[in-house]
Amino acid sequence: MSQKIFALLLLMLFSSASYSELVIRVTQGNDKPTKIAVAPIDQTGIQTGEDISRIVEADLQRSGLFETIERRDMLAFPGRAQDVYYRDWRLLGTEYLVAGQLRSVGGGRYQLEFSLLNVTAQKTELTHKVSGSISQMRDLAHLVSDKIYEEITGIRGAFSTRLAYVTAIRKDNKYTYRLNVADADGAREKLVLESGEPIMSPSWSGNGKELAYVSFETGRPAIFRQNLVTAERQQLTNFTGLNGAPSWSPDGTQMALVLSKDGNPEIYLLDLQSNKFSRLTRHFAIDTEPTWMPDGKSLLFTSDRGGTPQIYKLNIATKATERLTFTGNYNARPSLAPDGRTLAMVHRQTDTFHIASFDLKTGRMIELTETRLDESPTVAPNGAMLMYATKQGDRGVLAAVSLDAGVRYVLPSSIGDVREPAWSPFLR
Amino acid sequence: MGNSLSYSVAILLSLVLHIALVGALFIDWQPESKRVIMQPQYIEAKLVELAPKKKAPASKPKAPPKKPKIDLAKKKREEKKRLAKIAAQKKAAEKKRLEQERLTKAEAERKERERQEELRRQQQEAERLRKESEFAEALAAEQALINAQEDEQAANSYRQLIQQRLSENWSRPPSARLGMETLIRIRLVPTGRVVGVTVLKSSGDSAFDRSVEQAALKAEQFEELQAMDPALFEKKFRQVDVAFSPEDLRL
Repeated sequence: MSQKIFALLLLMLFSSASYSELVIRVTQGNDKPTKIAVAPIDQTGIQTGEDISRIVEADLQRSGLFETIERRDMLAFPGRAQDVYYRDWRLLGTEYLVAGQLRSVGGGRYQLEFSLLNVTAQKTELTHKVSGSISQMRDLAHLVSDKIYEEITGIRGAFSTRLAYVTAIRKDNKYTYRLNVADADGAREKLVLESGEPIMSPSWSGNGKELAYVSFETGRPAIFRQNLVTAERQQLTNFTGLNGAPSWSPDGTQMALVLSKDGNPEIYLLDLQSNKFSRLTRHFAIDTEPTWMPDGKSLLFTSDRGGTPQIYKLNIATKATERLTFTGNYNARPSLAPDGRTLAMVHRQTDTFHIASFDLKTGRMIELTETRLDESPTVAPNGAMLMYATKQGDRGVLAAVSLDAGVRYVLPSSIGDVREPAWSPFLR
Repeated sequence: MGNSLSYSVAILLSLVLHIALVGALFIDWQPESKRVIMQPQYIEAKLVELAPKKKAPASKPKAPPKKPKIDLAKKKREEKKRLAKIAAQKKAAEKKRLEQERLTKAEAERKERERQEELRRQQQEAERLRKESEFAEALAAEQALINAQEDEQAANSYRQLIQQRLSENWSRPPSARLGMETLIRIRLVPTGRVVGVTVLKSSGDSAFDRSVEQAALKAEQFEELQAMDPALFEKKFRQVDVAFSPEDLRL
């Protein structure tokens, strides 16, 4: 009898415990892409030559975080928030709707007013205006994408950023090398430099207005800087041996680079005001590929001083070095995400090169790509995606993968082999 | 002199006591360590006759005083005969008495047994009743608990359903991090329709908060709640508080 009473008491105890646990806890999500409809922009009477809504759609879709609604399924094309019948959009199963109106404001300028509507909650999340000339319609579209992306994902959009990359075109047994800059979506490719000799390692300045790169045009590798607006260029190094891997400091006043003038490749610092070089590493092994930590106080670089190429951290003030990677027999080409914590790199566990992300805090390595010969990772300024060079068939192309490896796409490429991508910083 | 004598007695006594004490100290005196284990004595209980014994029949009056001898021989014979007869009579009476006594005793014993039996039966009955009522009480308590538990079980299965649906609907933004938590209150009507969502505690990240609100709003209606006991709905499901806190993220 007493046992029974005890059991009952126990039961009561537990059931009363579960009574206090009234809050339902949701600890897992189904991170499906958010459904969004981008209604065609109302641009009555204006010939833009660009379909702004399509560009926005493509931007959002490419991020992997959105799934867009087919235009042919839409029941109406509202231009303004007050013209929206939520029911129509709810039927399509969309969570959000983008509606916009392009109007001429005179002087060859146009204003795009757009709204992000929450179909689920039946309310307007934001209304915003952007303006530009007729040739800037793609810019306006990317700005719309940035704004919407940030509002919904909580992360700054990087659709208005750009890419620098090198193409090699073979013609009549002779290569032509081109340094190009294009929109982050690969559109509006613009030639920066063309040469019969190799061009390598483009690096953006912190303000996104200049590029540094290595060109062999003088017969041996030399580092140049070039203004993207004025096309003005300047040769920075002309040493014997290797002159390579330039990396602009975050504040734009210095450049880390690799010189082998003293025997073997070492990391140097170039003060861009005084044009003075200072040597940072001193080791018989190869030290190369410097990249800056966001605080500008230390560098990450690749060195084989431990027997295999691994990533090291170098304190510029104290010159103290610290090995960061220990997983895999090859870790090189570090590219740091803006959080200063997630490092993208070329990683080899056994025999294949992959792009991997490495958490500097936890030491966790995650392979992001599964293809062969993936190289030159470069992380977007918002840290959501990274671009890398890979092979499609026997052709070099650029591909992108999100840093959680959830989404991957290949950039529609121009002619020739594409390699050495460099993602620009935020441009405004 | 008398004093010294009485002193010497006292001194002697004290001397003896001291010697005894010292002796006790030197002799390793210990309390008997062996524990005496008392075997309980089992006493065989016997039915005790409670009813007063019937008084044994009074002893026969003594033989009458001898008569003066007249014919001694004859008298003697007669007397002998008479005595024999009396003895036989006496014997028979004694036998009868014993028999009677035995019967009476047996009867008393039987009655006592019956009484005891009755008593035991009554006690058993009382015990049975007591147990029965106790059991009924426990049963009622258990039933109440079971009811509450069933309620709670039903509530839990509905909660699980809600949780599952919300989980399916929850698309976390990339800004979501481990440790973020948004607490919302979902207001429902008995059709299971979501009629309102309010953020009770923000995570501090607006995109994260919105993803949580969206998850609840996207659920739109939990049709399954229509099958719920209305009392239970009123008690527990008109307002449902849900905490969203990711545990399956990398960062």
